[in-house]
Amino acid sequence: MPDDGSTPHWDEPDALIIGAGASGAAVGWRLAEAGFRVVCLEQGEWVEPAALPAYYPDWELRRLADFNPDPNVRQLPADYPVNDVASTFTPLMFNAVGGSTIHWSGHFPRYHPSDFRVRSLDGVGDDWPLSYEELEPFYDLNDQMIGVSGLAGDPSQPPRSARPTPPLPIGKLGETMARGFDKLGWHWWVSDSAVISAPYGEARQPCNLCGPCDLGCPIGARSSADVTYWPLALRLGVELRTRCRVREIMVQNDGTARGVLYYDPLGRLREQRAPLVILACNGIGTPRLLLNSRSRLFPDGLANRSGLVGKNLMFHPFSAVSGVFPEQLDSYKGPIGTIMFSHEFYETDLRRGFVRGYGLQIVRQSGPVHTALGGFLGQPVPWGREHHRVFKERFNRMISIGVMGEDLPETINEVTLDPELADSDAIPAPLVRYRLSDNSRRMLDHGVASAAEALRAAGAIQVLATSPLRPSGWHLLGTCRMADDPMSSVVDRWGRAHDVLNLFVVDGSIFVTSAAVNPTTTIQALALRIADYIKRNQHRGDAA
Amino acid sequence: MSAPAMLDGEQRALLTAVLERIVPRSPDMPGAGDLGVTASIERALATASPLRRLFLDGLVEIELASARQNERGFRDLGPDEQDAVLRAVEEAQPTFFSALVDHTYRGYYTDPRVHEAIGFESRPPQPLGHQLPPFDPELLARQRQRAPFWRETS
Repeated sequence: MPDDGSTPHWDEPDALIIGAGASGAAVGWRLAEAGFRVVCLEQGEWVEPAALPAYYPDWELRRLADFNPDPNVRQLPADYPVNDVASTFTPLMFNAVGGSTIHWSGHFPRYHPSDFRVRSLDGVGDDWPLSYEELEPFYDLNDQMIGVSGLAGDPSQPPRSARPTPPLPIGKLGETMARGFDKLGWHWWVSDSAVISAPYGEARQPCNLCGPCDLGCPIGARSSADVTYWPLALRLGVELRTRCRVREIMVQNDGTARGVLYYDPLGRLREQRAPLVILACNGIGTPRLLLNSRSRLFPDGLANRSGLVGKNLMFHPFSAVSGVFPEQLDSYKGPIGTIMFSHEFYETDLRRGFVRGYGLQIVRQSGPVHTALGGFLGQPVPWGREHHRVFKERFNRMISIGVMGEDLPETINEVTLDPELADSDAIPAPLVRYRLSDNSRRMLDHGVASAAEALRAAGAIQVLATSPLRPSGWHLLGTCRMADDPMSSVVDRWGRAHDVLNLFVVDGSIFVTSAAVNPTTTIQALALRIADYIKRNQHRGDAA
Repeated sequence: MSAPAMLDGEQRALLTAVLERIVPRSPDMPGAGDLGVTASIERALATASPLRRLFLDGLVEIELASARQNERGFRDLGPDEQDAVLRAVEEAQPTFFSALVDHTYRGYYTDPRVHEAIGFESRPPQPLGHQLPPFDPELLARQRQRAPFWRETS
């Protein structure tokens, strides 16, 4: 959906959004709907559906190259490098219109109410400055806007509205796991998925179970931001400029943001002024940009008087466990990562030896190359005489479980700027430091044992595990945390920077704690809530 | 623009013999050497010079290890001796060896003849997609009996 020339070109927008991913798209649509003139700058481009790997015989090889979730592997022009040598987990992301929702599996769980009260309930982390009940209407709005499939009635969570489309098929693989969980008396439920199972929205087809959502969905079944919010936002006049990479945010003498300096598609440095600047660059890109925006007023980076920009980085402690089954399971048919889950071990129970909890997310297999190279586990099938026997045991006969634990904020886990590494525009690249806490380690050990027990109960004849799983840093959270106290946070409960009153952050950076679920549901709900605050307070053309 | 030949005749014959041990022929499966995976690896080497260097050096290591263990060239060895040489190289040159295995699997498992042999329909995921029976809500019968167990906070 390239710019057809019909969108207006705003020289003096009411708001400037940086980043066209899950949160930038949502906030852009919501503000445009309220009559705001919006410009969005995105360093990537539109992904062309017909060019996506799923149509081509070499589709599995693309996962190892230009569709790898690791920007250091892809090294595409839109990407920036990330120094992750000192991190347990590899940060993963995608740079395009739609952002990381382009390679997203679409697992779409909500936070539990207890996730907003971590300090009060369990004495760790911090409480959020808002509750589940305050966010719930925005969860509902977002589910309706993007199209979600699933089934209400899950006893592990508060009641919720009927899901916009029915659950996706879980197949023989899902039915096998369901029997395992039932046998143990453990919870499971069919996942809420950001994948439509029936006609919904415009120019989108229901899922045809092709499998590799992580390689982009060419039929618009998966609710990535480029096929949900963006078409609506463009129709409302939002001006989206692709291949535009922001170098820094400029401030004026009164300490408010003046706009940004960015490189246009021809590499020319340009200024875009705006009375309101909204960051939507993910939990690594946002602190990177703030730390790169130094000035006389903000020598340590913009909005960083607390010193907390880039601190408290959270992924999710993550391990992969796979069971090998005696029969074929149609393992590669259906969305790879959004099937069913168990929250049996989600809420805190200190008898388990750790605080907070984890979820178990069932994951399918992909094709033969993926299986041979070790699949979800990253443990290749052995070469040599045993090769064919082991390959046949595994191919189409495996079920994987992702053990996803809650990460807690620690200031030693951080995003800073690398003194040498830079992107193709010579903008300093992020350096990530992260180490797994002892609590997380104990949680993962427990989770791996639980996953193995569930797989065996379901009939697995062999169980393999990789713990922790290094390439699992899909969720980039906490690096511009929100709270009421300006000394202990970067933004307030409305995502507004304490130090810069016309600067908002709407991506995962503002998370206070990580919960133990995939975050996009909550990222988008928060973005919509912040947009409504901006609307209500007419942050349009005035600084405060 | 066709890629220049990345390997000379000797190197190509050596790589083919090595691939035949990485994924050997079996009664119902072709070997990676016989199948022509060598050509797909050569194409990969043409696009990435660090990988090319890794492979060219690695092939030399295989011949050196073969000479050390057996005082003969790799291609003159029996299968067991060849496997022993490769295990020694795997130990001594893990970066090369894992790239070798990785690229062998990439070439082997994208070949339609292999797909047929493993019972995988050889076509891209789209546009046909796949079929699965619809979700049966009865599967959740036991779960529905469970009382809500999330923590109330208000």
